[in-house]
Amino acid sequence: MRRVEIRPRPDWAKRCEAVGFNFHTSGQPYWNEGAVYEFTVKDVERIEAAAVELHRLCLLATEHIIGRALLTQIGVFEEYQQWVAHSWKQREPALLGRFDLAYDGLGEPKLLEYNADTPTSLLETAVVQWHWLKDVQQPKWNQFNSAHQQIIARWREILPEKAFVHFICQTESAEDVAHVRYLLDTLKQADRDGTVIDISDVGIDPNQGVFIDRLERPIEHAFKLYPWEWMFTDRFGLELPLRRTRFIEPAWRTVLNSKGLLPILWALFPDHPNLLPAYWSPDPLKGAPHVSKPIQSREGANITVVGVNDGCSTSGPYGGARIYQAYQPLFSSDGRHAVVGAWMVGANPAGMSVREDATLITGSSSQFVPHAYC
Amino acid sequence: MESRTPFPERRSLQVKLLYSGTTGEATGPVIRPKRGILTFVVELLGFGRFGGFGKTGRIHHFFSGS
Repeated sequence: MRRVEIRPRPDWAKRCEAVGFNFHTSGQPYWNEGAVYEFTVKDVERIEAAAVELHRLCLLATEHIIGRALLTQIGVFEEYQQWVAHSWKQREPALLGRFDLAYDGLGEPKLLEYNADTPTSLLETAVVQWHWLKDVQQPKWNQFNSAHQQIIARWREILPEKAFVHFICQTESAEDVAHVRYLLDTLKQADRDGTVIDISDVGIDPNQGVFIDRLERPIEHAFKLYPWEWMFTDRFGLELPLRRTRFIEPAWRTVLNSKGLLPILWALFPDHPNLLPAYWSPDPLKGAPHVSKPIQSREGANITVVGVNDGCSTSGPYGGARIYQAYQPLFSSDGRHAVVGAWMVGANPAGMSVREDATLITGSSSQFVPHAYC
Repeated sequence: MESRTPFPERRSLQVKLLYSGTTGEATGPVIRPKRGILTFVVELLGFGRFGGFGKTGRIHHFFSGS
């Protein structure tokens, strides 16, 4: 694995926008094709194998958490626990997930966290970096990227032929709209149909067993780009267990998305090569570099790194219970620290993304850098 | 040294988009039905059949982070 500086395409912004990627810059660039992360075949095989293994461990951990009534510990309110457990017992199908990994090209990839509910940067991963690869025409380069095809195939697997899907997001966010419109596009390629609506346009009708939209259409299938833990505290939250709208990602994915998963994984599979020591208390890591994270947090907010240089932390709105995870150095080059995203579609590894930052914490302004392997 | 091309199927993938992305040719624009002032106020006060989701968290990311 190495970071290589290269010349961006002269018309890169136009090329990005042509595939719907219209949020590549806002003051500072988010998309950075002035560099590429170059992997070897062995790197890619190692990351792919780690994703398969972590997926297996995560399913075992979900069974454990639900079977041992640990949902309160990982932050799921009591009112929803039965419903979440039911969703798991029914094995309601999932679409997407992204493991965030620390990988330095030498040792085993280590799980930092699992974005199993609302993983973003999908358009960049599945489409934009693929088009970049085609444009740069480096015959030696390939890309670990089958997300687009796998998503289309997955829609066919999990939805009936005439299914109509409401894609729900906060439509004031250009990024979120681009994300769900891309997914709607893949749905259409899978010969199903759907529409995009704002989260506040999801409604209730006492006479219908499902949620409705503002045109009074029933919402039978909903893809939501809005976290479960937020839905649970919203005014309509308690309607969720009462209605038979089928959500993607399903309710049981809130178990995996909680960072409370990390100490449970470590307790179940101590010393596993793809896991980092993680605990509910900082005491076992006393004197060692470690990272403290709220169990319900996003976008690198409210993270504290302890014992590395002078330490660092990020601000944000997330409070509540925290977990403590052993610090694992990220791959670093040219003053940039990289996190590898290993994408899953259903139970299959489907591609890779790389985000880099000048700080040790990957946050919402960290840059997306394309990857290739040879 | 043996040379091999792993994941040959990935090399041949063609990403096909039905829409141009910026104009929404196939997926269409996002249309939000207009709300009357009364509906707006009712929802603002936390009542009504709509507006019950979306209040806990608002977007604070600009770029992908979760």
